[in-house]
Amino acid sequence: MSTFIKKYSKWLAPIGSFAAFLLLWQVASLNVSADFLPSPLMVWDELVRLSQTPVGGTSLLGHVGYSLRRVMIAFILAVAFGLPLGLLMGWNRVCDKIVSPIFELLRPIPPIAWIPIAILWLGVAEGSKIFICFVGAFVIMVLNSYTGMRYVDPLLIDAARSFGANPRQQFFNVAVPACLPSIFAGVQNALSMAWMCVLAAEMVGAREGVGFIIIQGMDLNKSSMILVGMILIGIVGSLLAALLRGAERALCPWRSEMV
Amino acid sequence: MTLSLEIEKANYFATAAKENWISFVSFLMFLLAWELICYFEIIGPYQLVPPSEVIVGFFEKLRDVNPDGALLQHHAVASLALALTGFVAAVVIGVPLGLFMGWYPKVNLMVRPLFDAIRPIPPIAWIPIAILWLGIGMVAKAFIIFLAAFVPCVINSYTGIRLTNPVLIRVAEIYGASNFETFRKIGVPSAIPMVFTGMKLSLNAAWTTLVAAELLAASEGLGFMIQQGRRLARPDVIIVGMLAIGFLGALMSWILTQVEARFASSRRLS
Amino acid sequence: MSEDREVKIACKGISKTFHVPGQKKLLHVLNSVSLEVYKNEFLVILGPGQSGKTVLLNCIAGLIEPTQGSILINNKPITGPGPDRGMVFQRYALFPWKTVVQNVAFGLTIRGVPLKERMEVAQHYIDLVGLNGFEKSYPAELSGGMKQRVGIARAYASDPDILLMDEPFGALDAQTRYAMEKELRLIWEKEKRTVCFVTNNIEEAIYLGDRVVIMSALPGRIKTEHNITIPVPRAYTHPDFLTLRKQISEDTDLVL
Repeated sequence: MSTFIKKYSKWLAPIGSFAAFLLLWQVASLNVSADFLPSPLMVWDELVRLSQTPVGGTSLLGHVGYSLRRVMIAFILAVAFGLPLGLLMGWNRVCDKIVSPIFELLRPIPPIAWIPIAILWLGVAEGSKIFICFVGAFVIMVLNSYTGMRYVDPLLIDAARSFGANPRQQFFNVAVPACLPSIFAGVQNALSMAWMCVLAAEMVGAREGVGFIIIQGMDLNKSSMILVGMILIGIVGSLLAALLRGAERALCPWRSEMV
Repeated sequence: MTLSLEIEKANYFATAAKENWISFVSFLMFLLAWELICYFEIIGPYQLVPPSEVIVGFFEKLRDVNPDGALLQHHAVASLALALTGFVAAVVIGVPLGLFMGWYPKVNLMVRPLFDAIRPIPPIAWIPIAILWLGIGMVAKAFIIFLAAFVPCVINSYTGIRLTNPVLIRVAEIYGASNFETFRKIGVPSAIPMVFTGMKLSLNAAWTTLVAAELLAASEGLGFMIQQGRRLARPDVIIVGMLAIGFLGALMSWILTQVEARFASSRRLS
Repeated sequence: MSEDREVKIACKGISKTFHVPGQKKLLHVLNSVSLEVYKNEFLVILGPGQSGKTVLLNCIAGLIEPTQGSILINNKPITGPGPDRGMVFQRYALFPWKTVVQNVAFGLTIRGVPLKERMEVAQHYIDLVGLNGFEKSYPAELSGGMKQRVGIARAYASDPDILLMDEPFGALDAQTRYAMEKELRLIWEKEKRTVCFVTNNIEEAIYLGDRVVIMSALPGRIKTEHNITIPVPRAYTHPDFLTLRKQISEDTDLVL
């Protein structure tokens, strides 16, 4: 019996925790009206219903697909532009000094604050939503890559130099690999930021996407619908994060300490 | 040679000055390009205004209630009040909670299920249900901001106290300290740096969520102001608002860093 | 032993001054150091903790430029680091994302040597330092002594004329240190190179060096030098060893 517990103890805690949460929820929902807080079962029913009937013309999975598509496009663009920029700024002081003032001006502005001007520029279509996600993810990508590069151990660079490596070789063969942990942290943070931004953008104005689902729920006064949306959002967000963590483990086998 | 062992340059100070000139010129070029793009109407006047107009607009909003119905200061204060309320509440509840959760397994066991369920859901996703539950008022917004600010406080305090050096705990044990005394005198002080990290993240989250909440449902505040700017096709109002949001966010963060420096240095646990 | 009196490294009047950021004062680290290193000689630079010996070594390596003076390698002035000088670092400086064999082959990779040849050369030196079987391990999986052996193999593998070693055993525990000193001497006997070895440990200096140059505390200059004529392999407790040890001990500055 004790060996059984030991073997599955890793799973026992989260499952127990989840079961306790469901119990709490059920108890709470019994004491208030169903409109206010539906019970877990009612939310489950709603999920089943929604997966069968389209919301606003799109199936549930279709909505998730719309959101994911916007996130992925923005995320890939953010990494494609933000990663090289951050690395270069961290490596080359001149580049840093040129870009910094503009970056520091725009950085404190939360990506969500860009929504009005993005809509003004790009309308309520895909473009503005992707733009918002891009802004959020881009800033994070630049910051993480920059910090990673600045914190590369100068000893490693000197070691490379002592073998006659030129600056280009120092950058690509030593500095960039040394930054990989920070780069991965940046990628993970950027993706989760993009996910949050897509929600905000969709809530402000969209006809598809998970953000739209929860706004619909609010407009229709259906709290169960909102809760289904929220759960979906949480699950997809967690899955994306887990995927990236897995990618890091696969690509960086020398990192024995897994955070 | 940016990362090598070399720290010397014969004209060390001259180089530092030269570097700052580069930043200065770069920023000027940026403003100039912006100004010219608007001047030649590469982007139309209903979508972008030049920096000169932004500056004018800024001073105007300090005196003129048009077009959104309130002065800039008014909006700023409204936003700040709400954000700081949520933030302070989150810190007051979240930090101790995180510390207790990290130290006392029983507390952890009790709170974990609820916390782990809330965590993966981005604070913004709470807006619709909060509005459904609490209406389109201050309470709903405060609740959402509180939620957003609460999570980083708990997580960082929890992690901070979990990283307490076990050797120090052992020392306290040997001197006969009770569990609570060890918590108070060893655990908590050594968690302070991470608590402050959490607070900074928390403040950032509070401010960002506030803006989101104001965009969606508000009648005052900076988020409302920029939304109005969009509705009335007044990019100058939007940009002034954005810059104000950015500036205030950075200011609050800076203040927090100063507080940390003051606080942490006088209570160093070495 | 044939006397190769060819001068490999010639330092003339090396001085080095640092601007410490945040302070107006200048830090004088080296004060007109002149030194000659002969071909295939094992030269030890001995000095107390803060004597600029690492800075001197970095100047020879070309990582730092001296404020004054000149350095000639093979009678030609140096223009920065180069593959003719290999370096071994106190903190190993191994690349954590590369395996042992990839680390050892690094110098060759930089020079664009084809893969097959690189791996062969790397394997030779991995065998030389006794790390056979650990080719695919990562540095994080190795002990301190093993890491430094990788460092030595890596420096050797890029085929330099000169090996510069900056307190390579300083981070190791006492037992490992003795073992590594013995091994290094054996490796060097098998594949002779010109070596410049920096240390603050007197025993190590006498054990390893053909010649020991003693530096003073800051600002560093050469105080004196000793030719070690004790036959190899040396014993730490041999009377000649101990006499020399006492002598050198009196010559070195004590820095607290």
